[in-house]
Amino acid sequence: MLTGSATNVMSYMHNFKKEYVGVGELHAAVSESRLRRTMKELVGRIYQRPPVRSAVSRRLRTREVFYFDLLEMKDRRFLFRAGTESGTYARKLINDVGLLLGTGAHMVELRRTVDGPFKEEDAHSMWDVAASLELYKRNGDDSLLRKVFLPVEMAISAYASVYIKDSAVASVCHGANLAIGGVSSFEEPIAEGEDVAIKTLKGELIAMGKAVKASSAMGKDKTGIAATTARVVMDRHLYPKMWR
Amino acid sequence: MKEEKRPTKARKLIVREESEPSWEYGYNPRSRPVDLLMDSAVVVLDKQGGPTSHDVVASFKRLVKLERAGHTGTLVI
Repeated sequence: MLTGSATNVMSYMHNFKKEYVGVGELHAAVSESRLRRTMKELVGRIYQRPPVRSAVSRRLRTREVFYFDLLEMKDRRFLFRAGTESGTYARKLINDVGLLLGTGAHMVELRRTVDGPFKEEDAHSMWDVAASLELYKRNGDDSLLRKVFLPVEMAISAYASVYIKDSAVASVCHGANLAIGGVSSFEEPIAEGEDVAIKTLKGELIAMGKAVKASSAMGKDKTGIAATTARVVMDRHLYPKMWR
Repeated sequence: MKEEKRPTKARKLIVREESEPSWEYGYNPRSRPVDLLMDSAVVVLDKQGGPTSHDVVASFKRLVKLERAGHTGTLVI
């Protein structure tokens, strides 16, 4: 969940790698070793057609399965853990297990355990959210609140950062592109056209942008635009205007 | 947690021009004031089966009294 101005980075979070833990059910008994072998066959680049009831176009596409492990098996039910590229349907993966075995299979339960930089341990219930607000309101204790509400910077940690001088912050906040003279430092490598996080020297996210210059040019070029500004996150009044 | 097979890109910081941050404005992300934090945050919600993501966003907004909030992913099964 993203709050307030952090919602502007939403489109940058869709391609994160996922991990799922779930339960599948086979439609006929199969030995554990056979199931394990079949699951291994589905690791790598696989074809998937999105299910009938899905939000995306149903054309055949490929997705990468990084790992697909059997954790436990009891009778026809099995507990699995799968690490996948974004957009992989776990339900289809279990159907494929059934097809390859010739028995048929379907998914019974599913839980997402990793989404990009976020793990199951970072998750909080709605009760935790309520408790964190109450604690803060009652006696100013923000310890739980800071565990529940994570800085937006965490969400885009997978992107390369470009740190800019304080004097350039307000103009980027107003949507201006980032001129090379405003750049203080940057993370390497950055390819031309790559999405980057434009940050202050303190590490605050100002905006997401697109690199116009590759990191090789960003270090030595004297003029030009370093990155275009795509989505501004920072409040435009946080840093003073320094242009004339 | 299992180690991911695809290596995450190791990044190196290149300094183009040293510059000192001013502490008269802005904050370190870890210690930014609560009101600013809450208006630009990520909350990883443990959604139990039952209410839809849409319902969860709605009750979250009501609880936190937010104008803007959105979810980034639902469990696609």
